[in-house]
Amino acid sequence: MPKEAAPPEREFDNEEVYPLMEQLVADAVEALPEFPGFARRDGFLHGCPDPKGNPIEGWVTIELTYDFSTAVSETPLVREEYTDTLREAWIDAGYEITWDEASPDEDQYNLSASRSDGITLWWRVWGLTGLTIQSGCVPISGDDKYPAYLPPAGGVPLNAESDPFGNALDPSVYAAEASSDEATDEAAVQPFDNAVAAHHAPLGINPFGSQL
Amino acid sequence: MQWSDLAGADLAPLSDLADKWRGYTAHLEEYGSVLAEDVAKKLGEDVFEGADAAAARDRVARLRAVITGDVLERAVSVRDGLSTAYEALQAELEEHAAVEADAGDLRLRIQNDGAVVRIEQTVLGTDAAAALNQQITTLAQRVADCMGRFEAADANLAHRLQGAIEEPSKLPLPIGENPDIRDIPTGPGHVADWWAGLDPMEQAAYLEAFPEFLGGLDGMPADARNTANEATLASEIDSLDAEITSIEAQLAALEAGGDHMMTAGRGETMETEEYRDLQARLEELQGKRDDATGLQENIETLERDGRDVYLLDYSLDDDGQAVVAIGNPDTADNTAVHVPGTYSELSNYSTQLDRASVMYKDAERAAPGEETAVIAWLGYDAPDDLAQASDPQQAHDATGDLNSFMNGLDAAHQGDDSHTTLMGHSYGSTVAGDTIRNYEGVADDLITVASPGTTANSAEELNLAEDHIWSATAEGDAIELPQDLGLLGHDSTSDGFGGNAVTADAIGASGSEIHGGYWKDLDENGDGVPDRPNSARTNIANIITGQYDDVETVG
Repeated sequence: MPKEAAPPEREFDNEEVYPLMEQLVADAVEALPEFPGFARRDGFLHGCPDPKGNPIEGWVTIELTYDFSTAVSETPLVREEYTDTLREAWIDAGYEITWDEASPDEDQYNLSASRSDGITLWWRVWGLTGLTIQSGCVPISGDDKYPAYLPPAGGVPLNAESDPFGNALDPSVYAAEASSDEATDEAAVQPFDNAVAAHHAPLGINPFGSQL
Repeated sequence: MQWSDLAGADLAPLSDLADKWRGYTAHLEEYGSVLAEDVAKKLGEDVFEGADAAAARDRVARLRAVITGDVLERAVSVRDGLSTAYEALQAELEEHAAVEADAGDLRLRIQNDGAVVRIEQTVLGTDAAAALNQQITTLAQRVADCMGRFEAADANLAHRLQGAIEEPSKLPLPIGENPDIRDIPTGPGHVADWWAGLDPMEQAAYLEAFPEFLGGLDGMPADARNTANEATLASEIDSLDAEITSIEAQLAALEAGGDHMMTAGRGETMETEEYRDLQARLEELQGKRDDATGLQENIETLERDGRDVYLLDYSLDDDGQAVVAIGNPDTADNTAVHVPGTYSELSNYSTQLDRASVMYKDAERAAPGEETAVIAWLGYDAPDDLAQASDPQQAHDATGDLNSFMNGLDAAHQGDDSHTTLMGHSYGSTVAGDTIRNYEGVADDLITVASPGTTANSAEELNLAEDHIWSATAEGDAIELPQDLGLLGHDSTSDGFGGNAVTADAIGASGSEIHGGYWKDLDENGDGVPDRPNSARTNIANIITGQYDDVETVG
């Protein structure tokens, strides 16, 4: 077995970076006026392969995506106004805008920003409009590459379809959260004040502190 | 249902079916008796002793319990349901005939909607008219009752039959002829037609009898292939585990007895040939088991991530092969088949599944109203080194299988045709290109990523219109050298080749890193951490979903 080339060192592992990614979504939602609510959250973990395609043990990439519904995705509010708003918000936050370009027929748009800690934010104005947060390769802490469950931001329903890694402790989590409108609304903008989130947040760190 | 429908109702097929189920349940009962009496007696404790005999008795007992328990119960339920339904329906047909006869006697006619009318409009006296009206009312009520009972019996029959096919795989013995491998046709189109002509119980029987054969048979539906391959894979893992345990025990016995070493001369010792052979065999089996369990785990991971996954084919031989679909290709509006390149084997197949999964989700977001399937096709022996990758032979060897697979997708597809894209990375693009060069109608679009060549010298040699050929090579990719050498055909991104050259970001610090970086994100400042999504993702998503105007081309 050839020696594996390790990805560059990161300041967080998979458990630590995921709450930060969720917080970046919540921050984006706060910046968007008349926010209609995302329809769905989707998470994807993929490996960090070497040039020959062999996955490097102990590393993983997390990609977290929130999408609007098809109908909302087609509105000028999210396709045009939100693109401008996010560009401005990300510049103000000190992020580097790395992609700001329409497709050749100007039917689609891609806006991305890079943070100094290596997290990438990608606003996709496609058939579905939405926000994708990419962690880049991060080390896996412990045995489980899946980070602990956090409730969704942005008005996404609390159900199994929007459980990004299928790892909520129990399906009753969805029912308990959904049974309270107040809790749902609160989760939409403050996902980490939630008791479930607090229970699962990594101990001993403030995931949002100085990195925002 | 209308009144006249009853006149044409033919219950003979139902009667035949009821007879078959009577025979089937009788067979099950007889089989259960044989197991209970004859076999158990011949395997009785007074005849055979020991662990193997006890295990055999347990096995027979379990088989008998299954056959005389749930299976027989379900079969009896279907048999009785069919008989009851037949009798009920037959009774209503007889009532239908009787009502018609009575109506004729009264010079009345029964319309399709059940209304009873006079055939002759003669003037009747008051009393006669009242009597006739009473007879009409009575007859109309009989018509309504008859139709109501007939419909109820028909619905009950449908319910019984639905219950019978709900879990057909749990019924181990098919009605009629046993599955015969000689009845399975060749060619994806014939296979698709043959499979569609089987009833669910026959399909279940064939899947149970020949999973190794049907799992890789092009033209079979994706869900059936998946069922067959998952069963075969689980069975192979069990066999591997058993053989590994056996060899480990043999090695331990040799070590315990000191029989694993021999004198090699000059006072030195060495392992015996038998011991070395067993160790080599153990290593080989463990490698296969790791590949097999790895494939299972990769599929489980995708399913946990919410993907709809189909294992369409696999092999544990040599480097191993696998064909997995994310999304159902039989119902997809857009299907992409991705062929990976050099160094690809079953042990690193998870990387191909990651790429397929990314492309699947991107396509879904590019065309949210459409259904997509993306398939990672490692159905060939990919080159293990650069020397092999400079030779088109392994691509030539793969084209027949890939063409057959693509035809199978087409044959098994339901409804309107799927928009199909064949794509390949590195040497995989040579396989994809060579297939399209040699066969017609393989796909609607071809995408080559970091291609050393498609075996064609120009787009004109490929069986596709130029505007459906898409090629991407990032600047600095190590593949530029083989492209310049032209060993596998002309560079498909060059000006003279034809087709569309699409943009791709160079991701990586070296030529080899860039070559493997097309599904990674862009590191613009070179610190090793991505700064921007790869534009190749948007281009691939738009080609897969046929949104060509959104594809960014070079120049």
